[in-house]
Amino acid sequence: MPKFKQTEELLQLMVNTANIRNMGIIAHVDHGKTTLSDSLLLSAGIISPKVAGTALAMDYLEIEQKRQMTVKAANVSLLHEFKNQSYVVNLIDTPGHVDFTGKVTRSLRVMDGAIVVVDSVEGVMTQTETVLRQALEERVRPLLYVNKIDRLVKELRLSPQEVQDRLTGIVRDFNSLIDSFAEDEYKDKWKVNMAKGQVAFGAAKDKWGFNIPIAAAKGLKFADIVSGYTSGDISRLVENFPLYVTILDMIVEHLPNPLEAQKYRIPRIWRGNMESPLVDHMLRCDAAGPLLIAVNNVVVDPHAGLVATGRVFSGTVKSGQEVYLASAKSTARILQVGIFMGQSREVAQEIPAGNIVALLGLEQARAGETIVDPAFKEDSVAFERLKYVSEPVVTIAIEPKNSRELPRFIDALRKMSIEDPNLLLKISEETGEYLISGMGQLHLEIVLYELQEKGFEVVTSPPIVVYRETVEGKAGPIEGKSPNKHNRFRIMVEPLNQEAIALIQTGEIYDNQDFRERAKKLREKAGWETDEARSIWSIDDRLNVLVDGTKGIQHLDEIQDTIIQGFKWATEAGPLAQEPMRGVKVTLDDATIHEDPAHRGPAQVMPATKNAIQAGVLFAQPALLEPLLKLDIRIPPEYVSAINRIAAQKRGRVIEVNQVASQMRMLLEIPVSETFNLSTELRSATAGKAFWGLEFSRWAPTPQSLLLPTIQKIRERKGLPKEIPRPEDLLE
Amino acid sequence: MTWLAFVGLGLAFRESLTNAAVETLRSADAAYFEGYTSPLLGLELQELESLIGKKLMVLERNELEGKGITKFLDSAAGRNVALATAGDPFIATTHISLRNDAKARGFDVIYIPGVSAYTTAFSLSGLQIYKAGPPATIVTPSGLYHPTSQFSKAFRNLAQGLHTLFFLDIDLPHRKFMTFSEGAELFGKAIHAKGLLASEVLGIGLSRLGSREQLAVCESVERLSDLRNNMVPHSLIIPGYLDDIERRALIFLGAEPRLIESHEKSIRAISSKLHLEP
Ligand SMILES: Nc1nc2c(ncn2[C@@H]2O[C@H](COP(=O)(O)OP(=O)(O)OP(=O)(O)O)[C@@H](O)[C@H]2O)c(=O)[nH]1
Ligand SMILES: [Mg+2]
Repeated sequence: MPKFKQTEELLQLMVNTANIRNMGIIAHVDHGKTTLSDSLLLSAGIISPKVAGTALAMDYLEIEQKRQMTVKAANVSLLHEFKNQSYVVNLIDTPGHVDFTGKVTRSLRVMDGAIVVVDSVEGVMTQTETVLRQALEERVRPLLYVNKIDRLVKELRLSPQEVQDRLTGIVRDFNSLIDSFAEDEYKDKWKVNMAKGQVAFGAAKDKWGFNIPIAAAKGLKFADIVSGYTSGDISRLVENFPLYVTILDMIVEHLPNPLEAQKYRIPRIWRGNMESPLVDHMLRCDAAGPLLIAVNNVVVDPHAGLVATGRVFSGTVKSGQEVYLASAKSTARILQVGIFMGQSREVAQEIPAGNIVALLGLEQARAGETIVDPAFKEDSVAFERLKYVSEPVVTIAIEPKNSRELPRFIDALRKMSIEDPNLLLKISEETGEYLISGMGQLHLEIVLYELQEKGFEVVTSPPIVVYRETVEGKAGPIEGKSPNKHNRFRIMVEPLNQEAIALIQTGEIYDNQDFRERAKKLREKAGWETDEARSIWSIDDRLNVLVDGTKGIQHLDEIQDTIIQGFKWATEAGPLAQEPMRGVKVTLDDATIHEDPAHRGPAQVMPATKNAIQAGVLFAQPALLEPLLKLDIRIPPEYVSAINRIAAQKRGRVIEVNQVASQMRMLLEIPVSETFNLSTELRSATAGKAFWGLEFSRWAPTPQSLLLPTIQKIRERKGLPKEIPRPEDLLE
Repeated sequence: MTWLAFVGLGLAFRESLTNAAVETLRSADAAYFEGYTSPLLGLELQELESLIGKKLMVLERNELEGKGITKFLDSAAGRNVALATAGDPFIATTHISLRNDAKARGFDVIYIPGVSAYTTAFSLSGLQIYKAGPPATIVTPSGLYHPTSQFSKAFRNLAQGLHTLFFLDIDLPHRKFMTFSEGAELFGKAIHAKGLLASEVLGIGLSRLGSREQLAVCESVERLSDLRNNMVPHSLIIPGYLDDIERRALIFLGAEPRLIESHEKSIRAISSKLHLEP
C-alpha cells in the first residue's frame, strides 16, 4: 500500500548505502517515461493513486502536461520495501525529446542504472538507441521496460502468440544494441534476461506491469492480457500487478547500489587527477571522505534562489559547509541541504555519499559543475567535460511587446538560460536584438510558451537557422598588426583534422586539460606531432583549436590570455556571415611584441589576433556549414514513395530503408532550413499514419548553388555590409 | 610641399607650452590634439585655440590607430597639418609608426619637442639620468591581462644598481589614473614575492610633473602605498644605487638615512638572487 510522508524515514535510510539505488528513466520521445515515473511516485504517496497515469506529476510545468512532453529533469527520492528491507530509490526524470538531449547526458552522470522505456508498438527507435548508447558510455546499467502493451491488443489486435513474439522481438533488438554499443566487458553482463526478471512489460497508463518471474508465480498468461483489453475489463491486471511494485522490485534487485557502482564507474567518468586521494574515497563511496558532488541540474526558484541538484560521490554534505566550485573557480557556502520529494524540497541536516541532494546557496553553480572540499581544489578539474550530442541549430530574435517590460523580460530569459545550458541568450552587436538559440524549433517554442505563462506578450522573428563557418584549405602565415602597429602576429589557419574533432566531441581532449595527457591522445589517436600536440593554448566550445607554434618569444606568456581572447572573438563570428566558426585550427607562428606592457594590452592584441585569423579564414577556402536533421520515420509500406517525394523536395537524402514487422522504417537526412513545416507535410502525406523522431545529425557544407545567396541573406538580416570583407580590409 | 608636424605641448599648459609649439600650430591649415595618451595639465582649450587662431580638433584612439592611420594621412595630404600631443610626441607613445607611415607617403615631417615626464621625473627627484635603466609602465591588472614583466625589468635594473621610472596606467577616456600608492602596492607585492620587504625598499612618488604643483616624496615602497594623494597623474621611481649627491637629494625629499641603507642592502640581495636564478 502507498505510504505518505516518509521523509523522516528516508533521511534515516540514506546512510545505508547498500540500500540506495540511483536510477533514471530514459526513452524515445513519448514512449511513456513520465507516465511510468508517476506510477512510481504513487508508491511514495506523492501523488494519489487516482491521478497517476494522467497527472504527470514529474512534468510539473503546465506546458509539459499540455504537450505531454517532459521538459525539465527533476529528482525524487522514493522509499521501497523489498524482501523485508527498506530501500531508497533516487529517481532522476530525464527529458526524452531530442531537443534537450544535453540534459539526458547530464542526468546519466549521476545515476548508476536506468530503465529504458520502449513503446511496444513503435519498438526500438533512434532515440532509444541514442540514450542507450549514452547510458553505456557513462557505465550506467540499463534494464528494459516495454510499455503500452495495451496498444498491441487495442490497436494492432494481435493474438496472444503474436503479442509474445512482438515482445520477445523487442528484447532481442534491445540486446543487440547492447551488443553493439557496450564496452567488451559489459556486452554479456548487461544484456537483459527475461527469465531473470530484467525486463518488465506493462501499460503505464493503466498502472500495471509484470515480468516473467512474477507472471509465472501468479499464473499470468498472454491470453489474459488479450482478453482483458478485448473485454475492456483490466481490473484483475491492475489489482494483481501494480506497475510500481514490478518496476521498483526490478530496480532494487538488478541495479547496482552506489558502493558497487562507483567502483567501476569512477574510473570511467572522473576527469580529475587519478592519483588524487579523492579517487580512492570515491571508489569506496566513502561518507567520511572529502566532499565531492557532481551537479546535474540547476533551477532558479523564485523564493529560494538557485537550487543545484547533484550526486554525492564522496563525503557527507552539510549545511553551512564551505565548498569549492571547480568550473566557476570560486568558493561558496552551502546554505541548505535537502532532498526532493516531487515538487517539494525537504530540508536535511546532512546527506552522505551515494545520494542525490538539492543544495541552496551556490549561486555560481551550473549544471555540470563539480563541488569539492576546498582542500582538494587542486585535484578537481570539472568532474568531466560533458559531451553534448546536439548543438544549438535554431535562433529567434525576441522582445517583449511592451518595451517597458524589457528589464524584467531579460531577467526572465537569463534565468531560463541558467537553468537550461542548451539555451543560449545573446545580444546581437549589430542590431541590438535579443537572440535566443536552442536545439530545435520545439525547444524554442517551449521557451516562448514559458515566457507567455510568465505574463509576457512576446514578439519574435521567424526562426533563423544557425550556420557554421569553416575552412577547407590552408592559409598563412598571415600577419595581423595591432592598431598601434607595434605588435604583430603571424598566423596560420587550416581545418582541424577529423580525428581531433572526434576526440574533442567525445570529451577525450578538452581545454585546461593536463597538456601531457592531451598531447598523448592527440599523438596516438589523431596523428599530431608531439611538439604541436603539447602546444595547444585553447579549445573552444565549437571545436576550434589555437596552437602556439612560436619558440622563445619574450613577454608572450604575458599576453597569452589576450591572444586566446582574440582567438575566441574571431571564432565566435566568422568573416563570411558572422556565424560561429567550427573545426578550424589556428596556429600562432610568430609574434613581435612591444617592449612595454602599456602598448601591448588587450585593445591592441585582441584585434590584431582576430583580424589575422579572419583574414586567414578568407584565404583558406572558407565554407558555410548547414545543420542537417536526421528523420527516423515508421510508416505503412504504401507511403514510402510519398516520403521519398518529400525528401526530394526538401534537399533530403534517404539513408536507410528497412522493413520492421509490417512497417517500413526510413532514415533520412534533411537540412534544418527545410524542416519548418515538415510535421504538417508528413502528417498529410501519410494520412496521419507515420511515427517519427527528429534529431540533429551533422553539419554539412551548404551546396555551392546556395552558398552566396545564403550568406547574403544572413548578412542582410544582421545588418552587415553586403560584401564579404576582403582579407586586405582586415589586415590594414 | 606641405608638411605634417608632430608637436609636443609639454606637460602643463601654463608652464611648458613652447613658442615653437604655438607658432607651428598657428601656421598649420588644420590642428589636431591627440587626446588619449596623456592629459595636458590645466589645458584651457578655448584659450589655446585663440592663441593659435583656429580650432584644435581632439582625436580619439581609433582616429590615429588601425584604419584611422590611412584616413588621417589621407585627410592631411595637400595641407599643412599639426598633430599635438601632451609631453613629447615620441616619448612613451607609439606615434613613431605614424611618422614612418607619413614619411613613406612623402610627407615633409616636422618635429617640435615637448617637455617629457621622463626627464622631468629624474630632474625633480635629483637622480642622475646616466644611471637610469629602461622605464616601464605598471598596468592596472585585470583578469585577462595582468602583466608582471615591468617588475622583472625593475629588478633587473636594481640588480645592476640602475634607477627605474614607472609610468603609471592612464585611462583617459574613463578619467582613471593609477596613483603611485597603487603602483607601490603592486610593486610591493612583487618585492615580497622576491623574499624582500617593501618597508626596506625606497620609492619616489611623483605627482603632476611639469606643473606648478608638482611634488616628489621619497619613502619606503610600503609607506608610499599608504599615502593619499589625488593630484593625478602620478609616476613612481625606484632608485638604484645612490651616489652622495643623489643621496642628499633624496633626503631633501624625505628619505631617512636608515632607509637608504636598508635600500642598498635590498639591492645587494636582489643582485645576488638574480645571479642565482637561472
Ligand atoms: N496506450 C497507452 N498510452 C500510454 C501508456 N503510457 C503512456 N501513454 C501515453 O503516451 C503518451 C506519452 O506519455 P509520457 O509518459 O508523457 O511519455 P514520455 O516518454 O514522458 O514523453 P516525453 O517526456 O515527451 O519524452 C501520453 O499520451 C500517455 O498518456 C500506455 O501504457 N498505453
Ligand atoms: Mg515525459
